[in-house]
Amino acid sequence: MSDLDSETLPPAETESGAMIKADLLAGLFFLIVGIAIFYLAWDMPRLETRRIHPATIPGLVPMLLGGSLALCGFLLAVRAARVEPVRNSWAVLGRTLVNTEAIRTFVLAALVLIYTLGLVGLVPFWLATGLFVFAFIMLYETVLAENAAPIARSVLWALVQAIIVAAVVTLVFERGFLVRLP
Amino acid sequence: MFDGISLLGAGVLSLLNWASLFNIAWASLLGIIIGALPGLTATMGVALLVTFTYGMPPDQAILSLLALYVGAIYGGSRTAILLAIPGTPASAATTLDGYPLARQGKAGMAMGIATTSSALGTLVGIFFLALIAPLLAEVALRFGSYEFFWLALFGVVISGQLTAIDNPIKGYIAGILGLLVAMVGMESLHGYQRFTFGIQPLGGGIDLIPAMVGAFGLAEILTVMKRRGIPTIITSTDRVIPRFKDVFRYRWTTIRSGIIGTFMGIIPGVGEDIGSWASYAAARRKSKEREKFGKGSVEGLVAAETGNSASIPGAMIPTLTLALPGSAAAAVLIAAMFIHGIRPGPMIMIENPGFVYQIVAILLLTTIAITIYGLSLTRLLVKVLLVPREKLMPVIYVLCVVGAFAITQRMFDVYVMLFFGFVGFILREMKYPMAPLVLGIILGELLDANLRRGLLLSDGDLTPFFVRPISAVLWIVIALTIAMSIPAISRPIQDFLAKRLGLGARGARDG
Amino acid sequence: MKFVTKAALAVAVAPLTLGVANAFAQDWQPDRPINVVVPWGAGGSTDQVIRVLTPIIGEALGQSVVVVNQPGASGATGTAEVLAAPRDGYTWTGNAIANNATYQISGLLPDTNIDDWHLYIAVAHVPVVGVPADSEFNDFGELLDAFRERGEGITVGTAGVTSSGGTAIASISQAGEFEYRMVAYDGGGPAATATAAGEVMVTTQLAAEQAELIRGGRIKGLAVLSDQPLEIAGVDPIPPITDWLPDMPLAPDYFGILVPTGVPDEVISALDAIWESDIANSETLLNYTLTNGAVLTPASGEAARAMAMPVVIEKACAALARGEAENDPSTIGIDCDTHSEIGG
Repeated sequence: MSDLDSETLPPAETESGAMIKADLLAGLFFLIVGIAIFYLAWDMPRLETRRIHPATIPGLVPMLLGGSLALCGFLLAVRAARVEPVRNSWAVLGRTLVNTEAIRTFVLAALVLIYTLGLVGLVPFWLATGLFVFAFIMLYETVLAENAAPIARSVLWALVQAIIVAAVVTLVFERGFLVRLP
Repeated sequence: MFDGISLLGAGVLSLLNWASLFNIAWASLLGIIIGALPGLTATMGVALLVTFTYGMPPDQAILSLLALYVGAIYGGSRTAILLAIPGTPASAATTLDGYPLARQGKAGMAMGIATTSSALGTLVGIFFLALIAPLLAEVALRFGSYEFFWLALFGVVISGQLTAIDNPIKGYIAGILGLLVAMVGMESLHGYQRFTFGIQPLGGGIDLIPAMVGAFGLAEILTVMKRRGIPTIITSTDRVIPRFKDVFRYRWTTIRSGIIGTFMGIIPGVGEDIGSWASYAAARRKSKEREKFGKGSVEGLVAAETGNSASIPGAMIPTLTLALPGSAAAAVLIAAMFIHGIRPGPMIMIENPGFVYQIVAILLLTTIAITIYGLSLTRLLVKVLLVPREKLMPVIYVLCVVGAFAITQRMFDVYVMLFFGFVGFILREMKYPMAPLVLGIILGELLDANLRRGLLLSDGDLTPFFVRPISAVLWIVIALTIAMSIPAISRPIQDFLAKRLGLGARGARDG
Repeated sequence: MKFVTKAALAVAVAPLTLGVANAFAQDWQPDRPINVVVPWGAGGSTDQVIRVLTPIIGEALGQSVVVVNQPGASGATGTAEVLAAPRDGYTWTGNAIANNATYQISGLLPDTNIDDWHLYIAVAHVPVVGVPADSEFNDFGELLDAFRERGEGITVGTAGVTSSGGTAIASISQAGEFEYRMVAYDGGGPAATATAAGEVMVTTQLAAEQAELIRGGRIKGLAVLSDQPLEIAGVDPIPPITDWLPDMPLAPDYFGILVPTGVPDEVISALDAIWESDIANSETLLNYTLTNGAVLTPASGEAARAMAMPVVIEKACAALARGEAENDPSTIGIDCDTHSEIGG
């Protein structure tokens, strides 16, 4: 139900201590990024040799955007800093990075990165895809599942699905849509 | 007007062939399924389908994408009613009354009412699309660089403000980040390459579709897989096909919600999510049985579902006439139109006057299709909800990779998808809305080029930005919008309005 | 540098392969679809031409020829991808020839010139000087006087400094000795639209990009950059610019397919044969040129190179004159004092 609540409750109640601290950090981050972008934009060539109109320099809009981002970041940080301190809010923020949900996310991130940056291009696309689908289903149905299904059944169905997905996607895109897969 | 009717007739006739009907049939069904599956949103569905429509003739491709879009916004209501999870963000308001109705054993009735409301909402939206789009296109011809600059700014500001979940500043930040993404690559005025850091593919800029596939596909997969528990489905056996008197009873709610939804759709970057919330809030304020809202009010369900569906034709109005996306999914539609060589914008009524009416006809036929599916395929759609995410999500990710890759066939676009997936996930976890980000990517080029082009045309003079009639209206609206997001200014005004009119000025979120 | 050696070799063997082109024609049977990278957006003038060409080639080869749009950085992004692709004959590009020849000058791509490509020219597009329908200028003479008098007070809409329109106004201003204020749009189509709406006073984009608006009576075509009047189906012929500026250097922009050098010989001979028969006699291509104010100019090999060189020189030297050349045109063998090829 937590998902529903965050969508529908009034703003004040969703602002946990962790979110306030996260806002503070993010605000400071955007402040710095905004200033950096402003500097980079300021530093862009003004193309004087080409006699362009000085109001049309390439850096104009990036400068405005960098400035606005810094301003918004600053406002966000100030707002977060002024909220009544909630006890242990830093610890709560830290805990959101190591709980079960975070582990599920990190495992998925690792799977996605290994597949996309490592396997695709290194081995044929169908093989990479098959391995990814198989590993994904196995990990989430056994190790990370709350009430895991029997392993033998998971392996069998994961294997079947991996083969089907790899074959269908490769065939449909290479033959049907004439895409040269990586 | 007569011209319009004959063009509309021609539009409908042009769709009465097997290929078109077949494409509408499968695409709207696929849309309903995508919308019903939690974690698959309408925007993501449209972005992924672009790849599949690549080899189709342009009209069939747009038809399939649009049918999928309408289907997905409707499909989300199933999940909202049976699982209390919005199948797409657009059905968040549907959960409020749909789920309580289901728990009272009226799931079938709720699904039936959701179907008819969606259909009627789309019809109200279609009416305004056919009415307003040709007129707006006429006015849009007078839009120059000055006006397009303001429109781009207006889109980002208002989208940032209205879609922000807890704090408008976060909406603005998302919008600015999107605009900054659009700054990467070669700018069109002088051919200078900005923020490329010597990386060759960045010279071409960041494409919208891979970025969208990342921000709405990978980010959504991460969100879905992060959750631990799986909620249970409520099943019921009561009558699905609604009685005429049940529908007729809420006729005023339907019309009002349809109008609100349509206008939320017209505002650039503010789509069906807000359309549904705003209609729901208005219905609740006006209702005689206000206390029932949130506990299983049929009226609330009608308002939410009418509102989100009416936003789709509404969103098509600026999309077609100004090439400004009315919603996140419409942004993908614009990208798809360009891929297929269709140039939406002020010239559309001149270059291709039938096109707007073809869109109207597509929406009409799709509405018929979803009504038929919605009232007949109850069992199948419940089965769809049983597909375990462990088996579904890896397939979706593979499609994200192929979808990002297929359009330009470069690995670079896959890396773009990955980057936006992770960044989008982090921003989403911190309650930053995605719509302004997406809108920023599309509007960045427009904002930048038109500001500087306007300055070049006026020889560095800012006056035309403020005194040209359409420009003046636009900047005043923007200034008011920003002012209203500053509590010190908006609070006294809200208090004043509340006293004078007896209404709260901020709608649903105030509870 | 390896391009140069390969290019030199290719040029050396070109005359030989041409002679036996037909004998090789049947030898290349592509076993998978061929990709033609169009480094511009879909629906643009380049994209349109290439999408007319590819089905004709595909039919002749008995294999699909797929257009892939990779827009960005004035076409440099997509062109870089083609140069980096394996030289197996399955990745081509479609573009204005002069673009590929001058990416080194604009600094968009390092170390590449016209001899990195086998050229297959299909059509020539000519720029047209167009003004809004309600413009104060009724013929090119009046416009020329205004340019000389008001200089930067006259705004010219183009698709950017490196576009066909940008090159065209640069050459006209040199020949007519005047100043102007160029306003860049995101493509030839949008530039023409802005002109029709009256936001800029003049456009010099390609006839194809203005054809629809000229036919619709929203743009007046004052002059065509050619020594012949231009016929566009449905409207009066547009007079040649040489009526007012007889010494104006004229260089039509050629569009076609470019295949990177170093691909197997049978690919080239097969394409040579297709160009000689199927493209030269294509009914569809002829119709396309008639409705869009273009000219059918099929050519390949040395002949194509000779045809394209004038516009390459114009483009390179125009960039130099405006101070936009990152690398001097002499680095691709062009002498801008004499407007000719060094040693050519």
